Amino acid sequence: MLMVKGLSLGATVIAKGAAVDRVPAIETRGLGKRFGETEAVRDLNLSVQRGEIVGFLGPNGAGKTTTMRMLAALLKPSEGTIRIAGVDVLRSPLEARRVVGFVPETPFLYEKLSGREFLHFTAGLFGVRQPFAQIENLLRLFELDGRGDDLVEGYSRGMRQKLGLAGVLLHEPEVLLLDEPTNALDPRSARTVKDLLLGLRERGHAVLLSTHVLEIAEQLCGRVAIIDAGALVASGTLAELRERTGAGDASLEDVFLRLTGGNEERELARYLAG
Amino acid sequence: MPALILRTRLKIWRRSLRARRGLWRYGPTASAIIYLVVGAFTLLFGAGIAAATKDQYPGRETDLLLLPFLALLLFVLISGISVALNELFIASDVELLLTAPLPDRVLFALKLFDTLWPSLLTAAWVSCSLVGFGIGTSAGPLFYAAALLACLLLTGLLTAFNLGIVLLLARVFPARRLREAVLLAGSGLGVGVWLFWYASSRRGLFSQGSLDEVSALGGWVRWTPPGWAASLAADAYRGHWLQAGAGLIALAGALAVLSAVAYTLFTRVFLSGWSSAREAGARRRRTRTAEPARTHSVALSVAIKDWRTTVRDWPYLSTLLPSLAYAIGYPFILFRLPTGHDAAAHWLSIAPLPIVPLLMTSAPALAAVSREGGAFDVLRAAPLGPGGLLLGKTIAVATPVAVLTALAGMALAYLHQAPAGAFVVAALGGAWLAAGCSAAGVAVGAFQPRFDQPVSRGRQAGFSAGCLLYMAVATLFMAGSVLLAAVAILTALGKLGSMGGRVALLALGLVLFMLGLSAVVAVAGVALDRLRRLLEPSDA
Repeated sequence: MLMVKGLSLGATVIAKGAAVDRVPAIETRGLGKRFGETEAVRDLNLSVQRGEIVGFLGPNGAGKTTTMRMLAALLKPSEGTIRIAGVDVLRSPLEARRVVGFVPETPFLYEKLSGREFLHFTAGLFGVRQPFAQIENLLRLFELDGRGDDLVEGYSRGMRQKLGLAGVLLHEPEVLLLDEPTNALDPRSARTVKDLLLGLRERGHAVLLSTHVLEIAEQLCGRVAIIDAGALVASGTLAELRERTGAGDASLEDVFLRLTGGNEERELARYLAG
Repeated sequence: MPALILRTRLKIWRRSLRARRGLWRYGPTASAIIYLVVGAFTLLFGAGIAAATKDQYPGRETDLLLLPFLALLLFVLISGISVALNELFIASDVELLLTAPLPDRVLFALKLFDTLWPSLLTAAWVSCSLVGFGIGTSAGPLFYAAALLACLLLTGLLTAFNLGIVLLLARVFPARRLREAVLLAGSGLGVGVWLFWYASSRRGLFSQGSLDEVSALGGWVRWTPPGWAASLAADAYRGHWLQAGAGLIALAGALAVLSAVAYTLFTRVFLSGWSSAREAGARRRRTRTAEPARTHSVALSVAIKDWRTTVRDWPYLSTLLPSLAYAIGYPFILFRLPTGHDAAAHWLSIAPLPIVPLLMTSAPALAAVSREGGAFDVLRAAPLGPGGLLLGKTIAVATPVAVLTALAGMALAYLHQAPAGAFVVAALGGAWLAAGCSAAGVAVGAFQPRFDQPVSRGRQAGFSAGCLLYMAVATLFMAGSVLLAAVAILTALGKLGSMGGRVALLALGLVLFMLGLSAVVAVAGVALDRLRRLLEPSDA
C-alpha cells in the first residue's frame, strides 16, 4: 500500500519477479517521427526498467513531447518500434493504454465537469471497479477535496495539472509518462508529486519524466536521457554523464548545457543584460 | 498603430483561409454566395410586398418601412451584445492590446470597429429589403440614400448602445457567464419570434389586419431610434425633406451621445470588467451528484459525461433551441391535420410525430463527436474502442430525444382525444424513431468530425453533405417503421380494403423497414471504422 502524506493510494505492486524484470517497462528501437520535411525524432533507442524514474531532458523543440505522445499511443511513429510493458504499442494501442498513464503538459480535461465527476468519468473509461475511496484520497492528496465539486473551468493551471495527475493515477498504471508534471504547481504540491513518484518507484512502477527543472531530475531520477534536435545525445546516471563530458563535480545543468550547447546563448544573454 | 494592427489581422485572416484543407477551403466562398442569394431573395421579397401593399392599400406602404428597422434592432441587439462581450472581454487579442502603449481612444475605436463589423453584415442584408421597397414602389433616388443612411446610423447607434450596456453589465457579472446567458436568452427570443411569426402568418401576409398591426406597432415605437429611422425613410419617400432632415439629426445626435457615453464608460470601467472576466475564482460549485455503487460501463460513462456537460453548456444549448423549436413547432402549429369524429381521424393526430425526432436529433447527433474538441485526447488516451464511443454518444443523444418525442406524441394524442392505443404507439414508436435517428445522426457526424473548431450554430444549421446524408438515412429508416405501424393500425380499425392490398402494403413496409435499418447499420459501420482510425495513434 503506497502511503503519501498519510493517505493510502491503491494496492497494486508491480511484480518484480525474474521473468518480468527482463522485460523493460519502456523500450523503443530506432524510433523516429517526421512531420513533412521536419524530422522531430530520429533513431531513438530508449529503455526504462520497472522501479526506475528516468529524466527525459532536452531544449525546447527537441522532440520530448513528440516522443511522449508516441509512447502514449497517441502519435504514430514514422519508423521504429515501441514496447510498453512488453506490449507492442503500434499493434495493440488499446492494450498499451491500459498500462500507461500519460499526463501532458496541459492536461486533457472537460471544462463543464466538476473535478470529482471528471475522476469518476476517468474511472469508467479505464474500468476501475471501486474507485470511490481512491478518488477521495487523490482529491485529498492534491488538496482538491475542497474544490472537488467546482467545475474544471474555474480551476487554476496548477489545479488542472493536479487533477490531470489524479486522473492518471486512478487506474494505477505500470508506466507513467509525465510531461512537465510540476509546471504551475506550488512548492507544496510539487513536493507531494515528488514524494508520490518516489513511492511509485518503490512499488515497481516505471516513470519517464520530462522536465526543464533540472533540480527535480537530479533529485528523483536514477538515470537521465538527453535529447537534442530529435536525437538522443546521452543517457546514463549523472555520474556517467559527468565522466563522459569531463565535467568533474559539475551540476546536471552544466552537463546538460555541455551536451546540448547553450554556452553561446548564455554569452548573448550576458551581452544583452549589459 | 491602428493601421499596423488591422494589417496584421488581415494577414492572419488570409493565412487562416489558406490553411484550410479539403471542402473547408470553399467555406468563405459558399458563405458569400449564400449571403448574396439571401440578399437577392430579401430584395425581391421586399419589392413584392411593397408593390402589393401600394397596389391594395395606396398611401399605407410607408407603414412597412418600420419592419426592416425593427428587424435590424432585433438582430443587432441579440447578436451584438454577445459580439461586444466577446470583443471587449474574451477575445485573445485584448491582453496584447492592453500591454501595448495604446491610447484609450484607439483601443475603443478598434473594439467599436470589431463590434460594428458583424452588425454591418446584418445592416447590408436589411438594406436589401429597403432597396426592394424602393424598387417595388418606384421611389425616387433620394429615398435610397436616406434609407441606407438611416440603416447605417441605426446600426452604429445600436452598436454603441451594446457597448455601453456590456461595459455596465460586465462590472457586475463575469463576461463569460453573461455571454452564455445572452446567447441562451437570444436563442429563446429568436425561437419565440419565429413561432409567433409562423402562427400569425397563417392569416396571410397582405391582409388588412397585418398592416393594421404594423401601423399600431409604428405608433408605439415612434419615439425610439427604429421609429426615427423609419420616419426618416418614409419622409424621404414622400419628399418631405424638412421632416427627413429632423429625423436625420435625431438619429445622428443619438449616435453621437451614445458613442460618447460608451467611450466614457470604456475609460472608466473597462479595466475592472476585464479583470473580473479573468478571475480564476469564477467558481461554479455543483451540488455533488450521487455516484452509483459500481462504476458505469464505458458507453454509459461517455453518455453521462455528455449529459452533464451539455446541460451546463449554455452556448451549446442555445444552438439546440432552434432545432427543438422546429421539431415541436411543426407538428403542433404547421401540420395540424384536419380532425374528424371517427377513430381513424383521432389516430391521424399522431401522424406528424416522425418530424419531431427527425428535426430534433440533427443538431445534437451530428455534433456529438465533434463536440469533444481538444478533449477527444482524453478518450484517445484511454483504452476505449470505437463501439463503446459510438454507443455512448448514441445513448447520450437518443435518451433525451426519445423522452421528448414520446412526450410530444402523447401530447398530440391528448390534444386530439385519440384512443389509449395511440398513446402507447406514440410513446413506443417515438422512442424507436428517436433511437434510429440518433444512431444515424451520431454515425454520420463521426465521418469527418472537426475537433479544432468549436461547435457553432452555422455548422449545425447548414445544409452540409453530412446533414443531407443524415436526413436521407433517417427518413428511410422512419419510412418503413411508419408504414408498418400505419398498416397495423388501419388493419385493426378495418380501414384497409382487400387482403391483397393489405399484403402489398405490408410487404412494402417490410422492404422499406429493412432498407432503413440497413442504411443505419451501414452508416454505423462507416462511423466505427472512422472512429477506430481516430482513436488509433495518429500521424500528426
